[in-house]
Amino acid sequence: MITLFTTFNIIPRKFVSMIFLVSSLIIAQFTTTTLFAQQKNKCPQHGDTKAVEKLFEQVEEGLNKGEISGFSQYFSNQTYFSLSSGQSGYYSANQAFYILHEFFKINQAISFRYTAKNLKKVAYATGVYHYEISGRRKTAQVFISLKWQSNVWQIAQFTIR
Amino acid sequence: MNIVLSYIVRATGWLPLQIHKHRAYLLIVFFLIAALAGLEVENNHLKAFIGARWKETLPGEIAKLTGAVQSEFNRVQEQLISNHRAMSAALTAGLKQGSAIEKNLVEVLEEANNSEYCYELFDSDSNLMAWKGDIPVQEETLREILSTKNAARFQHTPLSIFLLIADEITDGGKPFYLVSGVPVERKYIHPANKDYENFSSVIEKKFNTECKADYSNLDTAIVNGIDFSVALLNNAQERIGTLHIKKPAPSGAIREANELIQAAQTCILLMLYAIFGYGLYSYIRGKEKELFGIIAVTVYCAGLRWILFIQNVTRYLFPESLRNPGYFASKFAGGIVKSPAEFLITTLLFFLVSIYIFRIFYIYRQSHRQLPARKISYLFIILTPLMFAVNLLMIRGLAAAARSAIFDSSLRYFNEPSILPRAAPLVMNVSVFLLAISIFMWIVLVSGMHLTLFHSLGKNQFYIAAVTLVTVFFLSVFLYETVQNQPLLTYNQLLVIVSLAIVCVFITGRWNNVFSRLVIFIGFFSSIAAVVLMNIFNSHLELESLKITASDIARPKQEFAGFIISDILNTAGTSDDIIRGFRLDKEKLSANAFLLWTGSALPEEHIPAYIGFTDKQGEVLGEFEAGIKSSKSIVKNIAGTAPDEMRITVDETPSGDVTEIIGIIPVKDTTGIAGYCIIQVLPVERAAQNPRPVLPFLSAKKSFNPVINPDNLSFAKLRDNKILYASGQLLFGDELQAKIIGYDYNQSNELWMPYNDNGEQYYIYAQKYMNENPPEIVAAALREKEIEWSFFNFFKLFIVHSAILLIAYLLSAGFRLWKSKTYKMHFRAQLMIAFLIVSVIPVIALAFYNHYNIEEKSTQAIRASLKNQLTTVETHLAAKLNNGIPLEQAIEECGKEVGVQFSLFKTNQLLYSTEWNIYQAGVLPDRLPLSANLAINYKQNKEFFGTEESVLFNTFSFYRKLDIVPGQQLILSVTDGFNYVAGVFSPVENDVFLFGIYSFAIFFIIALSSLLAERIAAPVRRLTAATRLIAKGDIGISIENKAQGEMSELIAGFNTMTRELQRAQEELANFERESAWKDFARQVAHEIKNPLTPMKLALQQLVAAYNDNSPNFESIFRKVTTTVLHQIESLGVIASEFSGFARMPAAHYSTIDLIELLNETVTLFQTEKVIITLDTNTLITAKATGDASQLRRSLINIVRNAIEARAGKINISIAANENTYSIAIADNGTGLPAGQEEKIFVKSYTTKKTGMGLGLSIARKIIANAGGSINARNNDQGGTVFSIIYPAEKN
Repeated sequence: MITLFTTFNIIPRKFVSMIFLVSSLIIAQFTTTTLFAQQKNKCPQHGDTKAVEKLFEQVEEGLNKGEISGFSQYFSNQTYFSLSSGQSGYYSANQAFYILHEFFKINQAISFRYTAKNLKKVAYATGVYHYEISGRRKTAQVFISLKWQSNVWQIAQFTIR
Repeated sequence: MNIVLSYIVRATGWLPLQIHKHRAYLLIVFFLIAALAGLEVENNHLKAFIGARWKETLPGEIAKLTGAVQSEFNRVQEQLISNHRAMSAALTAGLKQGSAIEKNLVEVLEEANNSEYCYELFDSDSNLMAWKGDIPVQEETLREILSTKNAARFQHTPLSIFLLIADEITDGGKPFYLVSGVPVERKYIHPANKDYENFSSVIEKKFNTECKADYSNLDTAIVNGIDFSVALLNNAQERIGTLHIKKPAPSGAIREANELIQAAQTCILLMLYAIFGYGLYSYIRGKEKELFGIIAVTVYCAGLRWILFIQNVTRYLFPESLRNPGYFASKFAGGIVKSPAEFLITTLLFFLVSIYIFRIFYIYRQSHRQLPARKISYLFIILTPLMFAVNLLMIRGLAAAARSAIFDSSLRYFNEPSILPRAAPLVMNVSVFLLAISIFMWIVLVSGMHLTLFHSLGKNQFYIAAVTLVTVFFLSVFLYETVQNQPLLTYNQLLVIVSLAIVCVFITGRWNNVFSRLVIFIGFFSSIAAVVLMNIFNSHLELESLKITASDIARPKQEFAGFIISDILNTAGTSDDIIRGFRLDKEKLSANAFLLWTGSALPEEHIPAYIGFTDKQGEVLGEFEAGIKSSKSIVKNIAGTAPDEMRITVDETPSGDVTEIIGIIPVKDTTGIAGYCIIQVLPVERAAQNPRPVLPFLSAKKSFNPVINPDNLSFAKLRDNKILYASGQLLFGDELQAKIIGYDYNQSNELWMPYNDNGEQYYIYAQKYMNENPPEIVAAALREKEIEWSFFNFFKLFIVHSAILLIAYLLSAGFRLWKSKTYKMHFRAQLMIAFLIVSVIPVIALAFYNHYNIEEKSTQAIRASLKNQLTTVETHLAAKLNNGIPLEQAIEECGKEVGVQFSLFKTNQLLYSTEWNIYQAGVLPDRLPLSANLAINYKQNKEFFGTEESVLFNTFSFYRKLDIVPGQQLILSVTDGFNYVAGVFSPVENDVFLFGIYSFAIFFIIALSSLLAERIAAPVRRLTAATRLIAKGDIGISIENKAQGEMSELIAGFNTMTRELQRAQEELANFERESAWKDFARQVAHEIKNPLTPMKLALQQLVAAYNDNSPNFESIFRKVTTTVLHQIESLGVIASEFSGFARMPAAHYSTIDLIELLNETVTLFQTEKVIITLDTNTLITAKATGDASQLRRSLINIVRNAIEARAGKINISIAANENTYSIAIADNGTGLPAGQEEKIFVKSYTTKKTGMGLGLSIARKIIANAGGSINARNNDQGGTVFSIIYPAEKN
């Protein structure tokens, strides 16, 4: 079609490459969006214990290293936090990131292990977080519960006491 | 050096510096850069340097820290001793007053107003007779305390540790004992006083270290590589405690040094940037480059913001609370802004840039009043849609920022009951306000530029255009609202904001206001817009927050409760304090139970719980109840199971609903199980219904949803078409349930719907949880607020804005006064101050009167409510006693039946309380508070009502002496600490409302005063200007008389006076002219006669000689011609002298500023009925050489001629040419007769009846003398244009 237009001098030749570029971008975006949408459709289903287990594993990994980036995507927009540093209440994913980032900066992670996990009806887990604060080693109890919302598992509550 | 610097300057090119002129400037810059580099080098070597010397440094550091810690402790101790001595002296004075000594002493104690300290007074038999605040010393321990009389010591209570001092008071008779104390450590979270800090925490914070305190006189000094010990010595130099402090580490010292260097570097960098800014400012100021100025200021501010954040300067400027990024729920402002401090700095810099640009526009606008008419129609059509689009986008930007401030931050602006909010909400509020002013200034700027086009229109055209513009604008708003997918505001809300902006545009339309006043006007309306927007979005947030409520209800709490219980039991089973309590101090176990409760998550989760300690047989040794009354038999049964390890059991109904969770753990000492710790938690689902804390006075956290008032909240949980539970004022009846269940839920399984329940409007949010089978629905409903709360919310923010505006107004007035350097106030200012004094002072007085009045009424309402509750208890108790029920049983039954929480004292000792466990745990002293004790037991009053300040809360309490049991001094007490007292507004909320309204009123008073003062002062100002004009020689002035009364007479008198003056001057001029001519003629005749006579005689002699053919004719001829020639020369001299006499006075040349001269000229005619505009064509100065006085007179003459030629508008413009300035004075008067353009400059030529025809000829002469020229021509649009070319000053 473009060639046709060019042939009949409807579109100047110098614009052809630009039109191709723009068209390619639109197609690429459309393809990505469609693929992403399909990817989203493959999200875990409720009752899928593997998804819950994977989530807990990622949290464990993050707590072991004191890094939030590994599991911050699981925070919902109303996650309940209760930390030994004094913060408690409902926080958004962004606030949660900052709060935990600050928390891990002060209470540096040594290790974390789960003491109990429930992957069924109400998914939750408890664990022990060993950390160092100003050169002294301390221990805190961790409680994490999940909720099934908008077709994904999200962290409903995150407590370190 | 100079060559290098010169090269740098030339290379950078931004500073037009000359080395010889700016040597000091450049040297400072050079040394600052050198210091910056030097510090960087030093910073890199620091780690190695400190590390190498650390061993030698450490003892000194420890000694320094030891000294500082001891001095901090001494400060606390000395303050206690000083208070103790003052109290001791006051009591000794009380002893000397003779009769009623005990009463005197109690009165003295009652007057102590430092609530941080506690005082106890014992009689000679060691009986506690009076106390204020805590009671750390009991009668049985007094003797031990007195053993270290006058020496400070620590005293341990189950919940706190006090620093005490005891002393004997006597005036020779029986001694009394005074104990004064101050708490140094509290073992529990102190919800009512978050500012309170334990002594060890103060040390940790102040010296950035870690420390553990041992408040015993044992020498427990630690010697190891990590810690060192500091002995706490009392005033007798005895060890009374020890602090174990972590030794300073080299890393800490390096960090400190690094921080110091970084601070110094930041400081230098800022200084360099300030110097750069100063250079830039000088450069902009010197040249007339507005566009460059705008770009430079914008880039400079952006650069400053970058430096401030890259160097993390906010940490030096703002406290931690303002730098906390956790306030923001999402990427605020696209992630540019991460904390309230950053938001403030960003908006402040944006405000500065905006105000700079706005000021340039203001100056530009002052001098450009009209555009050529023919261009108007095109520009009008082209720019109008653009202006609408830009303005609407700016309003959207403001709305988006206000929405972000509400939605994306966790700060709650409207929920704090105080006039002055906490720092973070305050800063956010101020930031939104600054943003609103900036955006409104931009709107005024854009609209103002557009409205410039209107000035050339005729009156009728103007109104038609204005109405069309406003109509089209509102239609655009409608269209804009319709095309948006997700409009932030509704059409009506947008109209409110747009209307406020339009008011701003029209108010500032005249542009005659002082700039600062203009900005304050804009500030006022933009403040209203900002507050309205924040209120709108807060209402949205309140609805959105229903999701939090639903989330909290749906959150799996029983699992968490199990986690909390296990955590508490683990602590109880391993705590040394508790194990010791079982063995040695069983009375303290109730306090231990309380400490376990406060240290757990139970209070913040609002979960009703019971914590108890039993012995092995199940007998309760100590307990604490928070929302549950557990019976001893149940506890005994639980303990009877005698588990060997921790056990948690969950009781469920057949349908699987949790009814109770019980946990038990054995507490073991070296000999085996000493007893059990038992926790009983009520069904946690029911706890979720409890939006209020279980024990409100012991919990800092009011609600899990901090956005809304719990009173307006209702919710329900539904499963399988049945309601599981419901709470709140809204009854989730069948009809509502059917609606909630049957509604179409969206993809996220959410539902929003309005609901009207008997006239009360609710908004309901419901969430369907599909993980349950059948699915559960949680519905949360919010009742619409009363209108007074909307006002409260409005004033809560506006009060801060109005304070800022008032301060800005006062500062700008002060600045103008300082800048005028006369320190004299204009008549208008004096009038305004007078108006403000007579109006604002009564308003403020009224505000305070109302404040106290409302406070009093509020107190009275609480009093009445408490009195009613107390009477109910008394009546109930009396009825039971009349029925023959024994006192103790009657009280117990009352406590269970009446529904009022009360306490009963016998004389001054607590006998019974429905909140017994609070007293039992030692949270509150089990004695009658001092004020009530004094009033009832000493002053024999029947009732007492008053406030009580305790460590936990400030309460109102009502006490009454009961007569129902003869022979017993029973005092019944009801307090609002334990009972809910209803009231619409608290006194603080009233204050916000009240002072908000008054601040609004004050602002209106200021605006009104300004208007009135302007109206009264305007004629006086016109008179003053006219008088000034007369003083300059222009007496052809007449003032337009629109005033009334005496002012009208004054103006009329003035006009008559000037007319008379003008007439007299003309007559005088005529007379003088006539006499001058006569004198002149006489003198000329006389002077001419003198040479004429010799000439006549000589010529007669020559004629006679010729007729007589005299042989001497030749010599006579020579002589006569010589004489005649001499006389002719004399005539020439006489003519020159006369010519010289008539010449202009000598000019005095100096440097003059033509713009200043033109401004002065325009100012002189300000009060005339003519619009004179001055167009400086962006020139700031126009330096030339000339006689200012002569040139001013010439300009006045030209302008006066234009006015007399009936000109309504005169436009003066000045432009710079290569070596000259062109001045054009164009008027729209009658113009010149054709062909007379040159003639008007001829001496004695005039078209006026009274003129002498000299003015313009003199003006031409003056200008020509200075090397310039003046011409006149008729204007194409009518009127005359005088064009002056005046030479510029030679450099």
